[in-house]
Amino acid sequence: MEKMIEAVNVSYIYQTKYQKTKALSGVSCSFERGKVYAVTGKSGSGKSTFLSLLAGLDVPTEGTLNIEGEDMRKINRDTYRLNRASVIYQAFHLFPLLTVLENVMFPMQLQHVPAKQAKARAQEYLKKVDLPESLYKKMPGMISGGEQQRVAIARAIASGGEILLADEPTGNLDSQNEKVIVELLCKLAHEDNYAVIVVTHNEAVAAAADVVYGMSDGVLSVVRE
Amino acid sequence: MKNSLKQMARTPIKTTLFFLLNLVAALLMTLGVCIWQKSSSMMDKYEDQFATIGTVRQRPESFEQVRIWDAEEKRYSIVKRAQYASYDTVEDLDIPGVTYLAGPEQRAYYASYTPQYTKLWRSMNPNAIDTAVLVVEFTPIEDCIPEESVKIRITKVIGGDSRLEGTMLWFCDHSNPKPEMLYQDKTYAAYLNNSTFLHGERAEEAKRESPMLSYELEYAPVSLSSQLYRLDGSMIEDPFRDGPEIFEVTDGFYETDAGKRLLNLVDTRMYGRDIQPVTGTNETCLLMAFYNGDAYITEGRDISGKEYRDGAKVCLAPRRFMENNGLSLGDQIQVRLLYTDTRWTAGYCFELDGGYSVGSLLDEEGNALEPFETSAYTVVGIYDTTVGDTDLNFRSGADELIVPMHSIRERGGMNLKASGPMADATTSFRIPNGTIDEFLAAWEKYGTKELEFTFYDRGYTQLKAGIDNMKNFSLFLLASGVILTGLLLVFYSYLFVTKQMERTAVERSLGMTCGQCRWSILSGFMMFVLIGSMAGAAGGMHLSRSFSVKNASPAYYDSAYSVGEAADINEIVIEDIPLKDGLVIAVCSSLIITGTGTVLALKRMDRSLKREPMQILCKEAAGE
Amino acid sequence: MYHYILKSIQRQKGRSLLVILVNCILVILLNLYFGLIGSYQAQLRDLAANTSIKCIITNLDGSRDSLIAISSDTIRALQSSEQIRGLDCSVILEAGFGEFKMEEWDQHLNLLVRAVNNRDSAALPEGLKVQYMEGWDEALFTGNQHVCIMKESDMEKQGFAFGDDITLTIYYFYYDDKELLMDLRELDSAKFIIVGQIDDSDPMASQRYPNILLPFQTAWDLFEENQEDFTADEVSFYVGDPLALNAFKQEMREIGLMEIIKGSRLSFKGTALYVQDGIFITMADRLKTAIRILTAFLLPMGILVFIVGYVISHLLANGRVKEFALFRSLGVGALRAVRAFWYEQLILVLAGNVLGCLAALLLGKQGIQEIMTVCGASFGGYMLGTTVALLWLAKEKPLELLTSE
Repeated sequence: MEKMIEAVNVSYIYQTKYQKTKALSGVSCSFERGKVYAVTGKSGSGKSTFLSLLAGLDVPTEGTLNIEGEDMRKINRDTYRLNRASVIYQAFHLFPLLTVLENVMFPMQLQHVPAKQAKARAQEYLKKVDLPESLYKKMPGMISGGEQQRVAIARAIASGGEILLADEPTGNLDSQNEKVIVELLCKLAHEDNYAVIVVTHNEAVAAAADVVYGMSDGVLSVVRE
Repeated sequence: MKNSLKQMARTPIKTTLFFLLNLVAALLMTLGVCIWQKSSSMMDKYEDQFATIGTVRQRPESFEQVRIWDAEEKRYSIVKRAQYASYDTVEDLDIPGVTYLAGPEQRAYYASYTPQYTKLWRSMNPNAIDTAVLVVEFTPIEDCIPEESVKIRITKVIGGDSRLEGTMLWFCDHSNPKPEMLYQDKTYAAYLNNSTFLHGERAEEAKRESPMLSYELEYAPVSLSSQLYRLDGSMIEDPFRDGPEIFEVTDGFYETDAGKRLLNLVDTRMYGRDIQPVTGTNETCLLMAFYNGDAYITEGRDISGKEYRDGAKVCLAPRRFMENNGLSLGDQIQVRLLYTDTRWTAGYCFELDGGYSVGSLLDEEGNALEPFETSAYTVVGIYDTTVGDTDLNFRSGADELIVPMHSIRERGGMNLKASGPMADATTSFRIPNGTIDEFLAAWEKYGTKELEFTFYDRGYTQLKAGIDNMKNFSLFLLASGVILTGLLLVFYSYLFVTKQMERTAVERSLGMTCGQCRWSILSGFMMFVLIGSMAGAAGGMHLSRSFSVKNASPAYYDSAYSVGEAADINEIVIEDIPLKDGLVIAVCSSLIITGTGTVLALKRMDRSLKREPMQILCKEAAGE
Repeated sequence: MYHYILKSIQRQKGRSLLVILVNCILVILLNLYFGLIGSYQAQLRDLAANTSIKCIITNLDGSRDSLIAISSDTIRALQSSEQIRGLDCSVILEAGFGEFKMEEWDQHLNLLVRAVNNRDSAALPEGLKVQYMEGWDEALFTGNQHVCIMKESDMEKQGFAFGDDITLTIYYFYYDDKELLMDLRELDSAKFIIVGQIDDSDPMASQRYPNILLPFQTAWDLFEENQEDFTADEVSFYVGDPLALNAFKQEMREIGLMEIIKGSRLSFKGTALYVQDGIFITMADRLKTAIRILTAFLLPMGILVFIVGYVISHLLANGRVKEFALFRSLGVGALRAVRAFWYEQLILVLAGNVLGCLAALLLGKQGIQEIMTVCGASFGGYMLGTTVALLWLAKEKPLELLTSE
């Protein structure tokens, strides 16, 4: 399988006013399409840091991060996030001032997709995540957590990218919604050939993953492949 | 508090900026209030010290040229005389839209003939010889035409120093272009005055022999005519006007008009030395000598408003007159008014160096003028006069008494020796300070073009303008300070309180009470607000001392050639008054700022405290 | 991003209205402020336009402003000065009809002559009416032709009519400053054409009228032809531009005119000048000081507008940090995301400015051009503050705000 992302000996050092912290130390791994990857670990182990590097929100201090063979440092990271990788969050982070449909249309509008086309596609993506049409015109504050997360996933796939990064996507959900989201993520990976990388504490989510990495004190190890 | 300050100190840029801006805001507010207070106090303090006086003059309609013969130069000299179709009166100044605080008044001075008092002239010339003005009989030493200085022998002194009898004097009919022959064998009588140096062939010859004659004066005849006027300015007819001045003495000469006049002149010619001018007015400051400070009360008090209104028999007397006559405050001065002069001032006719100008004191029938009013005035104030660089138009007169105008019964121009239109020295009024523009606007609308005004306000207009500017300036400072303070407190309370919500949540989750949390967050903030505002307020109070009215009234225009402007403000003793209650203002400003900051911060703090700590810390709420 | 900006404005009505209102108030306040400055400046201009500052040449102690000797050099300098207007010159002469000898002057010299350079000269009595011969008007006073205007009664007495050629022997006043005497001296006999007559039907008023009026330059030329020093006896004029008073006074100094020195020796020489500008100076100084104080606040006002823009934008932006982070995580570049917020503020500020301009127009304190200038200044200052406030957003790390750690 084609490696979407490959981390080679990636290290990351946080520099604050008072101290330096090595959040990641020599992380090497790869992520392929069509699989669900779980990165587990305690709080402060470096999972979110690793996720931010995978999302192109920062670059490694040492090592390389290759996206489909290209060094992350050499590509436009904004374009990367716009067209190739998307992030979904524990707190959903939908635009509070846009409706559900407008939230999903947003990435396509950034890509200058004509409004009609964007709307049609957004409706498709919302259907894909099984969101009822009656909710399309609602504001995020008016729908449940599970519905919000589904909208977030729809928005994530609306950009057309093939890499889906999720930071504790079920952290704010009840068990039922958690199950729905996990199933959705697996479906996206297995059926739509996304590379889904989930940072999670949750055993149930990790259990559903195809590959599980463990992060401890900035060092990544394979837990299950 | 230590914790709060420590945490604020760890964002040094934010904290320093907050402190400095707070200081500036407090400075602006305090400065604005201080300057306002100072300006208002200054206006209150000095308002009463200013008086705005306007003087009035009537423009002449044309000028006539009067020719005066000069025997020495053998030509006419031209004297211009202003001509008026009629004299305007003070009633013409009564127009709508104008408020007078005093006047307008056109003043006359009255000549009081009181030989029992020693006047300035006599005090300066105690051993004066009576030779300047004579009534004599004389004969020329030879037949001659007195068109130049000629010698005459005094055969009889009727009025004057009798030692001159038998002596020789130089004589010339100086102002007569066509003098008549004088014959050696005739005796002539005349009223003589000496004022011109010797001139002519005979005199030059005599001077060659005796050079000291260069300093001798010739005697010239003076007209026997009266100089009385009517109120409209026309002269009362007198047969001796433009008539002969030298008379041949024949039998019964002294029964004739000329003879009687000469006899009457014997006494009246010297009256001038015993005349004391009396000026009636309605307010002392209307007399420009007093207004300008050239004349000032040294003992006693000024005549009160009530005394002026009631026409009380009180007066202000000059110090020198009082000393010369051994008088003191409270004594009475007898006054016998002999004539009225509405044209000139006492200062013009009775100079402070003793010189005086009185002229003929005969009436149109050749009789000596009789006093028309007798009174006694109590001295309530003694004044002194600066001599030297005084304004010659407005100077006060020697021995001049100042009395209420209404105390003089006969104000209708009795024995009017000179009559004239309104002039700056004789006509003035007082208007409220700061109303010159309104007056001129009203005059433009309702007044006549014949009258012109000059205003004196001792710089009040400039002072008020300076103070108004200061007040506007202070309002700006106050507004800027208030806006800046408001914005700063809103902004920084947000930064230091609202944005510390998480810290508050942590403190609460660690078991601190709401009150302790408030103190933890607010103590540092309030400390900075208090210290910053106190420092700013103190700075504002201190800075306000360097703001003066003079700073606010610079002169942009050159005042060279200017006439009729207010006195230079730098000449007025305007002391910058100390700021009253400066400390109170500073403390209040500081407290208001601190109070406002406290209220804002508390409100924000309450909002933070209302939210559950776990809610804040676990970030469960969507969209926060 | 534009669609998002518009929706954001639409859906955050409260915040949008706040920004619009603040800007509207700022524009109104600034217009009032500049309006005040403009008003003072207009008052100053009006004061200058409506104030006539009269200047009169006098003798040194200021006691005489007529029948004094004002030199021809002074008059020439005044004529060529650009700082003055309404120059009014006059000289008084005496004349007699026909030619006669010096010794006979007292029998023949009975005409008062006034030579003036304009019909409305202050030297002429008020109410003097002149009837001109056909083809002639008051413009004759500005020329140097040998023409004259005579009293009607004199014309009747002498049997003269319009157009008649008459001979006048002219005498002038010589001012002896040493002896303080005015002397009459013969000037010349010259021919003049009668082109006007003075209406002296009112015996009272006409006593003050001169017998003959001549053009001022004509009199001057007569002096020069006879190689005599010409002096005018009355000169007055007005300051051309009161606002250029200092330049005017400097020129007067250069001409050689002195300030009046009270108490100085009496003199006939017209060497001093008095300028009736006391009230103008007082009022103009007051206005200029007010303008100075107000304009001194231009910079603080600008800073205040900047601070308002900064503070409000900062407070509003603080509430939208996560929004910004979301943009970043969705692939919007940092500057592009900041620009989106900036454009949003721009639209609101412009809306506020437009409303403020309309309100200012209604207040009517300033013209449209001034209002637009003020609006521009307010807009610039506020947006500068907004820019500075929003730029810090670009430095925020998005993932820190969005992730669970």
